[in-house]
Amino acid sequence: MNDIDIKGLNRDFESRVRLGIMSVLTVSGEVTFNDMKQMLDLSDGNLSSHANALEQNGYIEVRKSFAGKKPQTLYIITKSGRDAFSRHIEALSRMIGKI
Amino acid sequence: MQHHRTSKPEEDISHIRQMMERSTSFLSLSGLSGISAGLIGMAGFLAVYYIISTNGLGYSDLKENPYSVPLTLRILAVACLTLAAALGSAFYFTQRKARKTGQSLWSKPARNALTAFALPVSSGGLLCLILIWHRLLFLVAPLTLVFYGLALTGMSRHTHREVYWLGICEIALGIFACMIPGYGLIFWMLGFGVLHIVYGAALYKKYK
Repeated sequence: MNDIDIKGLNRDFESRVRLGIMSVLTVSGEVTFNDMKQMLDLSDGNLSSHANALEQNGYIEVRKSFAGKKPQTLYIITKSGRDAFSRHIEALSRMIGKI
Repeated sequence: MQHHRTSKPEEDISHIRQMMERSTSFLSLSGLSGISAGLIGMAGFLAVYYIISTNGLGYSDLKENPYSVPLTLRILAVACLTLAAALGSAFYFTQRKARKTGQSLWSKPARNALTAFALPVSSGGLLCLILIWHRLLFLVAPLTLVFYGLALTGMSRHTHREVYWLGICEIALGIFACMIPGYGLIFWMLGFGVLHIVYGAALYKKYK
């Protein structure tokens, strides 16, 4: 899974959308599909495809449930997701000489 | 999935920071709720003013001779009604906007904003009740402004930044009102009525 380059950057976090999802989850821990969509200003399909990719790599957990009759999707950050993302931020910071 | 590295690390970092910040903000606070709270505040002021003046009194007499107990209770009742109506209308417009934008009213940012707001307001409210108990009525109107301002500045970290400046204005107005106690009610009208309407209109225009 973890595809790390020479500089320590994680290729799984290269897209803006994934950076956004991981940033939001790092702060909040868990966020619903609708909240995430609004915060990152994304389309349904765009968000779910990137979220699925993050889930397959074990960075987040996708939990589906029902709120009344409406299906609700919840994104939750995993321990390994948190660790991988903080290493990614460290690598980025090293590159701009801020660490 | 192709892996082209198109962005610079600086840009990534600032994007991350921006997203983290946005994820802690409750952005459904509606400008209309400010306007309605302001109008209700004005109505409350007029009601209190009417009660006082029909009793042949003024707010400026308060320091020397406080109001009688029944009169105080009547004013307190009007003030509580005003507060309940203002909060109710703010809640109504905010949940209406939240539903429109699909943001949850019980999301973490919303809860954070509410707790940050509730703590100073409830401690200030309690303090004012104690002041009324001690018959120190002339300080009540100015202090409600100060505590309300503190609640707003505290809450502003979790919502629109404009709320911070509204809070600062309320605090300044309240402290100023403490120094010239005879005009507490007028300042109260300025703070809860006029400022709310101005702020609500500005917010509404910006984030409609």
